[in-house]
Amino acid sequence: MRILIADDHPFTLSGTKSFVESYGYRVEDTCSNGITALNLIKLHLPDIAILDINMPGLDGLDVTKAIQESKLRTKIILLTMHKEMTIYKKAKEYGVYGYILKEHAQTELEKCIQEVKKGHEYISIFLKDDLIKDTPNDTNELAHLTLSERKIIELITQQKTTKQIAELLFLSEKTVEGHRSKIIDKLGLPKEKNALLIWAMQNSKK
Amino acid sequence: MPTKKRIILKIFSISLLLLGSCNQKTKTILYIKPTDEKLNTICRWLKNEVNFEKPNYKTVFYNYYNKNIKAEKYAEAAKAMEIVSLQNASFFYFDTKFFNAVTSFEKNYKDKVSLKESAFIYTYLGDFYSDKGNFNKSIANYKKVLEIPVNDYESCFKKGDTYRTLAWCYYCLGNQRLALENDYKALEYFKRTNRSDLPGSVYINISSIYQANRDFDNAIATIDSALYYLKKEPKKQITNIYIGLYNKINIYDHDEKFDKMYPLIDSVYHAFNKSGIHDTSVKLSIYSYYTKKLLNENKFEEAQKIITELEPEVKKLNSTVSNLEFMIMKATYEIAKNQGVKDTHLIESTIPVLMENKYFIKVRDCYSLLLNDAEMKKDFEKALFYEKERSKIKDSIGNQEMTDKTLVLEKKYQTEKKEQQILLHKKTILNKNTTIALLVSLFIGLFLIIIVYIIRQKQKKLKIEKENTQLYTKQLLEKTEEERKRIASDLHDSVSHELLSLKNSFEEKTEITNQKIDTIINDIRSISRNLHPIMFDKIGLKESINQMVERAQSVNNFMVTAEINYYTVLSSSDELQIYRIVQESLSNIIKYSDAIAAKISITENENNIIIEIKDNGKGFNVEETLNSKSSFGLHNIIERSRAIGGQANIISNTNGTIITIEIKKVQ
Repeated sequence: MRILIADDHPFTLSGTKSFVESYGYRVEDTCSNGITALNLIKLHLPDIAILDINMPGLDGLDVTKAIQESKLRTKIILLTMHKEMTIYKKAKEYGVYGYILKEHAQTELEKCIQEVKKGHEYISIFLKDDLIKDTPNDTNELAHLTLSERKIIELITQQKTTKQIAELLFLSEKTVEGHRSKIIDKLGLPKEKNALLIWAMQNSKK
Repeated sequence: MPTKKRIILKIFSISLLLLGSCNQKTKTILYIKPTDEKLNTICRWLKNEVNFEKPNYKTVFYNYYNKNIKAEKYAEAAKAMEIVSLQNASFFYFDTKFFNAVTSFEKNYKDKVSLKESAFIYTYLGDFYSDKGNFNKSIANYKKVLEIPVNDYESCFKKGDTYRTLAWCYYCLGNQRLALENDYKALEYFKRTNRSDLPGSVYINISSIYQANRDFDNAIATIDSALYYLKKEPKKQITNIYIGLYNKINIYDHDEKFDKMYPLIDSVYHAFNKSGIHDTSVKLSIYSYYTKKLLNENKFEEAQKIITELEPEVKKLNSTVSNLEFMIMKATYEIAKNQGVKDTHLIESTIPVLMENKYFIKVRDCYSLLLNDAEMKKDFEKALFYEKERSKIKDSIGNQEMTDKTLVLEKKYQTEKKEQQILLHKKTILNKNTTIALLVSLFIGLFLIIIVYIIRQKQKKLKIEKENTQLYTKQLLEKTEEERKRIASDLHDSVSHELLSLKNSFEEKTEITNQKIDTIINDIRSISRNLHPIMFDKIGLKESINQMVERAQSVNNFMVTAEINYYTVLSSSDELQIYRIVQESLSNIIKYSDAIAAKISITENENNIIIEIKDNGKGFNVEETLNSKSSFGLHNIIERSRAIGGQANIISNTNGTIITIEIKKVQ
């Protein structure tokens, strides 16, 4: 098991290296910029490359993309400060295997390497947490619903028709219909007519 | 602008100049008589009147003339011939040899010299025929002289003089209208020269016309003015002065003012004898009146003496007119001496010849003579016949009708002249007005052009300024974004990493410190995210806006959807501005609109990109808000749109707000 680590912050780099080595893996190469990282990967074809995203020269995403384009077998783990879903999505396009945050490296890195080694993907649990952090914390059923769904229920309680709801939310009627059936699914309501309306009226009274 | 001022000044001065020039009166050109003619010795000798009487005069001329013709120096030959012809004419000396020489020159060499140089031929021929009493022929010749172009003193004088001579011919033919017309034409030309004496000879003619019309008062007045002009150059015009004086005597004679006539005859006769002029024709005219005076005083012997004295001179001259005059003089003497005319037949036989040439004036004199003779011989039948013929002839010269006509013509001529002057004035004024109008319109035109130019320049300047402002705004916005990006990445990369190192460096790790540090990291992350969309260049406009929408939904609990149909065509910095516009709009909607939902759509068409942000909130007054202090957000949207070459349009009412930005694609 050969591993390459690239990070332009020397402390983080040495930290990561010591973590990885403490898990019993051999760190073959370390470097502090994307261009060297890409060259080393092409040269040594390590099993796993742990890359930072923000690096001089090529960034982590560029290296990942280049490896995907060269169809190299090295699996990429991005170890970054970017807690951004959009960046992960982009990285996923380039065939990244792991995406973990630096501040949680201690807790997640070992697991991530294990998963990736097996050929599985691993995404930091804290990344997902980023997007739903502001959702209402109440324990009721609404917590599972998306904003659109909650808005639709809100409008249903105002006795709006699907057409009116669609207009008010700038959605198509079809989308609203889709949302309605999803809500019914999520709430486990019987597939009857007006079941959602009745539920909504009841819950709004509470 | 100094250049413009200079241009305006220039235009002004040019127009002033133009105005000034049109103020100048157009003067008739004045030809000045050259002080000395360039002649060679022979020509100068030929020109001297004293030499004309010399026996070798003709020989000198013919030798010189033939020599030049042989040498093909036609101009020189013509010049000499011209001088001699003028001498001949002034002495009323017309011999056949010279006449033939002139006509042969006309035939052979006329075309070898210029029109001006050959004009003398026709002057001479005109003079020749007029001396022979053949006025129709002489008129035809004189008219040829009129063809010369007037471009100097000599040609101008020649033309004027020809008109004067023509007038004389018409007068003799009894055509007073044409005579008068030609006289005035002659005056016109004479007045263009610097010689003040020339009109005198014309006035002599005019006076004769008055006389022919029996307007004796005017005839006397005119002859006086003629003498006034002639006396300005007494030496040159001496012959003409005596002709004028003779005419004056003649007028008194016809007016039967004998009390004035006889003293005048006496003084003229004595003055003439003192003057030393050798002009036989003038001498004959004056002497014939003097004879009349002597006969009147019954001084027959003295009269006889004068006639005898004149006879050889007249015979030598052999001029038709002079011969006739001398014959009349002789006849008058014979009648006065109660002898009766010896040979009335001679006189009667000349009449048809004179009639044929329409020399009415001499015919009249002949009839008067015959009448006197018949009366004296008590042949009343003949007297009555002569009387009748005489009055007929008088009518031919100028009857009452003709008198009126001439006077009317004269007046008409004068008014015409005045009218012409008025017309000329009017024309000048009109010209002036046209020039002024032209200048004014030119001014206005220029003024307009300048105004248009200035406006154009201003517009150009404004446009450039606007472009500069726009560029500046764009750069400002870009710089701001760069700065924000730098701060964001510094915070994110350096500070966060430092914190991370800090977190890892604690020997004794506690949950609380770890959590605290994590919170700080998250806060920094949030700050940096707000400062600049994370890795915008990488993520792109579409995903970044989607992210924004997701965040608005999750963080602000605001229902917003995005429909983005856009593929990268704009630069990353322009895309960032669009992102900012959407961000600003969305934040405004969330903050102020009370909307239930909003929608962001970016549509890329063939020629443009349309960005639309709409909500169903309460809306606002666009005008008012834009003019108020709290409009930074809206201005931000408008300015950013402009910076990327777009046009923002904001429509708002109580049903919601729609912000549309159209960006034209650069083809």
